[in-house]
Amino acid sequence: MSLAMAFRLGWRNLWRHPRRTLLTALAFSLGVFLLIISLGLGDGMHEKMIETGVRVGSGHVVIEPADARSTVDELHYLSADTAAAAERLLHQADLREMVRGVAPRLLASGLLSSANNSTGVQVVGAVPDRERGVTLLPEKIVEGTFLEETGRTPSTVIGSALANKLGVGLGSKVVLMTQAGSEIQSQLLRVRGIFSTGMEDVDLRLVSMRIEDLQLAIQRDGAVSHLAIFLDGSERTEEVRRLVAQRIERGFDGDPPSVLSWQEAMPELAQFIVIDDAGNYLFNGVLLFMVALGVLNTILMAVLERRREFSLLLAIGMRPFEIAAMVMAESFLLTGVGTIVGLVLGWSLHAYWAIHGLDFSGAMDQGLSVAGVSVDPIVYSYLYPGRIRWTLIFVAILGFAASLYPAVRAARTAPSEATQG
Amino acid sequence: MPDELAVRTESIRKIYQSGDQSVAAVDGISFEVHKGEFSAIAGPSGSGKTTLLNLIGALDEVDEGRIWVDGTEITALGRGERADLRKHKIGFIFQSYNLIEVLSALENAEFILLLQGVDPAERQRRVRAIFERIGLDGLEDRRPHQLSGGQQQRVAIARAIATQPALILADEPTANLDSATGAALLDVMEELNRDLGTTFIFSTHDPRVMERATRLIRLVDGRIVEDH
Ligand SMILES: Nc1ncnc2c1ncn2[C@@H]1O[C@H](COP(=O)(O)OP(=O)(O)OP(=O)(O)O)[C@@H](O)[C@H]1O
Ligand SMILES: [Mg+2]
Repeated sequence: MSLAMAFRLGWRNLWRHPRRTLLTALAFSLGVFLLIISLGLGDGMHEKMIETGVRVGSGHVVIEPADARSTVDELHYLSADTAAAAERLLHQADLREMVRGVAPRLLASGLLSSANNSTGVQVVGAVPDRERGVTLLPEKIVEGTFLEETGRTPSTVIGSALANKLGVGLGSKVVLMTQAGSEIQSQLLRVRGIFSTGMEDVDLRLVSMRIEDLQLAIQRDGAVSHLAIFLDGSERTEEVRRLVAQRIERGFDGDPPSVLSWQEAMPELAQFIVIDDAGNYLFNGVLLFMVALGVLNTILMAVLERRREFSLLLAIGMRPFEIAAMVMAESFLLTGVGTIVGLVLGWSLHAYWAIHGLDFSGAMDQGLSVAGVSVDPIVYSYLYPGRIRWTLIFVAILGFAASLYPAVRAARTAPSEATQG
Repeated sequence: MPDELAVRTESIRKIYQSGDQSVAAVDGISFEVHKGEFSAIAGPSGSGKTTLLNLIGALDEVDEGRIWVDGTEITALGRGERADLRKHKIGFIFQSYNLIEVLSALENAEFILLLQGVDPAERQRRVRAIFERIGLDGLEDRRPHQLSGGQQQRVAIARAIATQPALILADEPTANLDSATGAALLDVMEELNRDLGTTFIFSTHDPRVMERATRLIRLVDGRIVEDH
């Protein structure tokens, strides 16, 4: 018997009980549909969190001093030469195509004071042109500009919460005290921009200024804390990290700087995503398992009520494996139709939510954040590459598993049953 | 075994266990059927007619004895070989539920040819010729439930002879038909036997059917009590 015949028979057999078949196929569609949209929303939310975390933090991939994370109480810097050499590597053609931007930063902690108040801050020395278009702060400026104007007094940009706390506004003067070597240095700054990201920590703690001003303030001429590398999305992070790491290893003698992915740089966020994904997989796995039980039930019923037919087919010379193939074809068609319908519906809603987003603000506590990264209440559906392929593989395995037992049962029918009047 | 034998059995026994009782449904039967015979197996209910046909048709296995069909010893074959033998050498007509519900009359009749891998044009040619011969033309596209009992049995006959088997086994083929329809079915079988030389072995309860056979084998309690 040809495979085409197995499918033709399977298809016709399915329509012997149209209602049963449709209900089962519908349940399967629903399972696939839910799987696609929950993957879409999960991936969308995660990608947004990564994006935010990466843009407010140190990029998808970061080049930093090798010992940066080994000792916490001591700050480490890339020398001007090292930073320049690393940047040159990033300009190679294959990397340039994947990299959206590279931002050198100098980090320092300090105390920011106004006439009224003072508070501890994290200072980021940045190159404004390099930040614009890739990182978050330039986009979130609500007053003034992002370090565009300069005057005799160096400029700074602070968060709205910090401005409130210090009681300062655009044009106000503030004093930054930082450690320079063993001394404490004071630097007068003028507030030329105020940003508001909606992230409490960022708006209260983060201060940005031009990198050369900060280098001067801490007396570290040309020093850079890290090079933040930004990509178009998080998918190629590992690929870029590996390429950059390879080049750096080859291009540096002595102590090469280390290259970290965002997962290594922000382990809490990476962990949250892994755990959240695992929860989703478990939920969807259980759901699809139940749907597969429905398929098993339907096919098994169809098989048990057709013993007579199988014994007839065996009597006239069909082989048991051909009977099994016929039953599997039937099950394949049932799950296939269900999968296609579920896929089309799921993909459509995913495509709609990818553009219009789904607003969870009603269901979310105000300002939910994970590992310091805020979760946007509007989730834009997004599917990582390979999601559909893996969904199809998973569903095919489930369908196959569900049809195995009925197929074996059918194949084991005795041919002599055909003669029982 | 001489060439002209379609079937030969040698002291075959089939014992069924029901509870602590064992029944010898076929109890030491030895007989031969020549090619071209039109034989009936008769006997009261429970005498072993179905069991005997199942053994000859390689649908079931003997407990003792040997069986040859068209020169092949089927009692020496494995499961798969027996399936192949059924596919190529034996045609079956059962009392009821002969047809596959989701296939049309024509598709049912050509099904074994399809299993044998005969190409579609040849299948159609053969089956259409048989349909015409046995009065089924015009019914090719009907599904089994759209056919009368007599028409369904004819489709089963068409399927059985389409492969030109060495032997056709029919277990009470007329039992579910009224006498006129049953007689018409026997006419068809007789004609095929006469014109094509197809060997038939069928079982029956019905004295009117027994009369039509050229040879009558009577069973009682799994033994042949009469053969002429
Ligand atoms: N699968 C089985 N299990 C147990 N006993 C069986 C089985 N099949 C048949 N028998 C017994 O074997 C004997 C012969 O049965 P068989 O069906 O061959 O008779 P039959 O002549 O075809 O009867 P009928 O005219 O009613 O069809 C009977 O006693 C029957 O009860
Ligand atoms: Mg019987």
